[in-house]
Amino acid sequence: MGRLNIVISNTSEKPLYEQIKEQIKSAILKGDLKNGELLPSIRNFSTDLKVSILTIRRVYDELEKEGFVSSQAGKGTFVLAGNEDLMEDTKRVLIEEKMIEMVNLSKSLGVSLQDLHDILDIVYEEV
Amino acid sequence: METALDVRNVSKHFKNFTLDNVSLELKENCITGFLGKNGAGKTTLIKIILGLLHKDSGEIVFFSNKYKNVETIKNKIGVVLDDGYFYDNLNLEQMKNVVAATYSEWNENTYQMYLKKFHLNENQLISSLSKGMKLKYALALSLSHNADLLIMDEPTSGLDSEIRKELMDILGEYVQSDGKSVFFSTHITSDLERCADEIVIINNGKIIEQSSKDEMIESNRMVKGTLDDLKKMSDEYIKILDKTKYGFTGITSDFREIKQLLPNIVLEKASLEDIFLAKIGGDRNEDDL
Amino acid sequence: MKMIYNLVKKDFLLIKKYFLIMMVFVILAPIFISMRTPEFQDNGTLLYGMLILMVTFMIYHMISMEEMKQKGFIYLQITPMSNNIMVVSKYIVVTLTFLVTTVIYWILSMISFTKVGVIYIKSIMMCFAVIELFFGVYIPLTFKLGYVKLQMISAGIIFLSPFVIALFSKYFSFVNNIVLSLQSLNNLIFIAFTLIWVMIVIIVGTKFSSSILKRQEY
Repeated sequence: MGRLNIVISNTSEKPLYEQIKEQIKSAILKGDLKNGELLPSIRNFSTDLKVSILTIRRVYDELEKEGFVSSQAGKGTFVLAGNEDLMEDTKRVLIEEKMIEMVNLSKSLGVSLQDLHDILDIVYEEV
Repeated sequence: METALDVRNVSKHFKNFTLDNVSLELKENCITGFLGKNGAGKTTLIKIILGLLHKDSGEIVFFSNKYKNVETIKNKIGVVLDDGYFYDNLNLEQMKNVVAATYSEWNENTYQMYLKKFHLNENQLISSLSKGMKLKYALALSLSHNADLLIMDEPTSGLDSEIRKELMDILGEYVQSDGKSVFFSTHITSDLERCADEIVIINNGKIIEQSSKDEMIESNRMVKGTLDDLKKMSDEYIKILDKTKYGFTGITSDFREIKQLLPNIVLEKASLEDIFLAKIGGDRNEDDL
Repeated sequence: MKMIYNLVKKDFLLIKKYFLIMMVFVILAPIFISMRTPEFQDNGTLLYGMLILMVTFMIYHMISMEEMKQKGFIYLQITPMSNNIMVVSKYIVVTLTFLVTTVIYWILSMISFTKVGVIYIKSIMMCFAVIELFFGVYIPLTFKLGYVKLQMISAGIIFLSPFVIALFSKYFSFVNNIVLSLQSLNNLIFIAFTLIWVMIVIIVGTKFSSSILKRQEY
């Protein structure tokens, strides 16, 4: 299994299940979790992360609904990363969310679109 | 998720206390904590579940009625009671022999493994065991007959934090296997905070709430502010925990509204203990303080 | 069954500390009393009967007291073991006590210098029947009453027994006559009847005790 890093914060505003869900999702999108890979069992995962089994259950249920994993009774939960379109769409949406924030900030500070492009180029290089 | 135990509208009346229309549901593979202060009714309900007390009304369904008779059900339940309830004159082995003979799936190897793990000597008299060792012995017995449901009444009271952690670890391991569930009552919230999946709160013989531990903790916040702030928050729901002339501390589930109303108010993660106190506490307007 | 074996063993283990004293009593009491009471030297039936009654009663009483003081009984309620088995084990404890005491007495009666009077199969059987009947009533009683009430009743029985025996002393000869008259009956038939009687007593007593236990709360 590729590296699956989950770090949850108890003081974050985001609910635990959301934090875990997003971290799994980004691992799938980044390719750290490959298509067909078996995720930890609900029970094991909850014990390791020290969260309620119901929280993990919710994570897996929602990931399945969103099409990122598939649960098979008796076998476990598998990563579904074969759907290229879904992957691309999700990546797009995640970036868009951040961009909306960025654009709003720029507009409120009076930064032009051109300046924004320039800043983006510089930052992309440096990071 | 399968239901390991379903308690429906159970009531029992005593002279000075009533268990009032209690309902709760244990989900399979979960560690469900039964939280309440002393005298809230935890032991009473557990005794009713185990058949030591008879309910006046209501229904109790084990394992979704998978098993037809009481004997089979009892075979599948492991019990750890506060105070052991053993024959003090006997030694561990003699007591074990009496108990083991009653369970059809008794596994001597498993039992010996736990004895070794807990450093228990079979030839010791039960009366000479410390509280912690009695708990471990009771645990060894309850885990050695392939029980699917572990019911424990205040297993950790009077024990130091090291043993308590050990116990929580063992419970966590136990529910890893399919079909195993744990139900334990306590008034020590830190144990539940560590390992419970669901929490059921009981107070004065009534069930106050049953929800996922994470949800319970996440849907509440501790609020700290000035007394002026408090006046401005008349519409929001807060349970006051503490009030001095310098300010107040409280628990709220309306933290988003409060944050909007008073952006500088202090909101922190609430401990399960404080949430518990708030839920069983009195009303909001404590003008007498 | 393994359950009954362990329960019976448990009961005797509970009163382990009294074992020696009881043994001494069972051996010395008949000898002492026989030597002092010539009437018992020819026919030991009455002495034997009283001995059996006292020993079984004391043993059972001691076990019940320990049961009620320690709380292991409650643990057993949680196990799958049925109340019937628990009750039957009590009868077996009584029966075992009866057997051991009988054997010891019989051995004593065979040793002529002890002057302990002989007993006959029929008297043994009669005793057996009476004892089981007594416990058929007493065992359910112990389940019904609590620690305190049981102590009072037991104390009462022990206190009253000398008076009862004194009352019955008139009937010593009466009992002897009955025993002699029954000599004519076939031993085997007598034994068979006794065993059937005992079984009935145990079955009825167990049913009764079980229903009492079922209603109990802890």
